[in-house]
This record gives sequence, C-alpha cells and structure tokens, in this order.
Amino acid sequence: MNFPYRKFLVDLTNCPFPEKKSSLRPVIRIDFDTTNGTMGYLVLIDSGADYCIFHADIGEALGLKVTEGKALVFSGIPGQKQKAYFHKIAFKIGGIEHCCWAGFSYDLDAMNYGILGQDGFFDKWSIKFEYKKENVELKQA
Amino acid sequence: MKVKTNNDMTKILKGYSDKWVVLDPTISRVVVAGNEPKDILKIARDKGVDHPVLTRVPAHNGVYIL
Repeated sequence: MNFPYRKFLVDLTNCPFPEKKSSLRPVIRIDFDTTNGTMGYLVLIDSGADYCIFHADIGEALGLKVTEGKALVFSGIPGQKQKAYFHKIAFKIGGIEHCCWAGFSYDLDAMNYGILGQDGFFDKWSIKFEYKKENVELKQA
Repeated sequence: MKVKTNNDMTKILKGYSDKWVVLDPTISRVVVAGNEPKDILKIARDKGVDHPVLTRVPAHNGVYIL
C-alpha cells in the first residue's frame, strides 16, 4: 500500500529558512471502530520512537479507562518526562486490521498527531520512505 | 494500492492553531474545530459525517522534532 506524505504549515515566526513554508511528513490515517461508530486519526510514522503513542482523548473515545493501562514514563529530545498508559487495541491501516499495544498520554497537547513507533508498528510492517516521491510504501512484514 | 486522500494540509488547517479539528473522511476540509475531541466528534456525527477524522493543530502549528 502506498500513502502520500502530507504537507503541513510551519511556524513562519520560528523558522530558520525564510523560503520554507511547509514541511512534508509521513502522516497517515488510521481507523478505529468505536461504540459511537468509526473514526479516523492522523498518525506520524516515526522510526525514532520506541512505541506507538496516541493522545489520551483517542483512548477515551475508544471507551478505554486510560489510566488503568500499563504505565510508561517517556521523554523526547527536550527530556521532559511524560506519561503514557498502554492498552492492547485494534485499528485499520488502509483497511487492514492491525493489533498492537499503544500508549495513551495526556501530555501530547503540543503534538499534532499520534505516533507509530518501533514496537507495535515497525515490528509488523516493512516501511519504505520515499521522500522525493512523497510516498510511503507499507507491506505487512 | 494507492490510498487516495488529500495530502496538502497547509490551507485546510490554517487558522486552527491550538485546536482539535475533525476532518471529513477524505481529509479535504475541516468539519468542526474545538477544544474537546469528544464534543467535536459528536457535532461532526450530528452533521452526518459517518467517518470523522480527528487531528490536533498545536499552537503556531508546532515544530516536529522528537
């Protein structure tokens, strides 16, 4: 399956390159079944992330008791500690069912999207990043 | 298989800094925006969007480095 890279605005007041207006990112839609119907959620394919981490609001929309999950304290480059609670969940990627453990965090407000990381995503799919073609190819591993 | 959806989010999400937004299933337009995902998902479904797509726009669009 092929997914397009998506183009997002950059903060023009905080960009070292005046000609740069946008950033291309490997962001795809994943789809959940919830008690209220289906819903999509945008996630970044992030090879630098150890785990799949989603906004806690998504867990709540799925009917999970978020804080009852397995807890993880994690941090990104700034080093600030954040907390996520892991639950085993299912969603679809391009219509294909995918099951994994994902963490849900109340500390992701500064993040645009959920994150698909090594455990739970890269261990289940072969991923080919083609930036020049603005394409991400996914194959089940 | 090529999954066809809109890939240029620059115009669609402009003006929604620090908001949650619900997009239509093809990710071509914002259906509703707000501060509480649960509320805007309900509004979108009430408007007849059967597969709302949720995302967040950080303050000033954010800079993504992890």
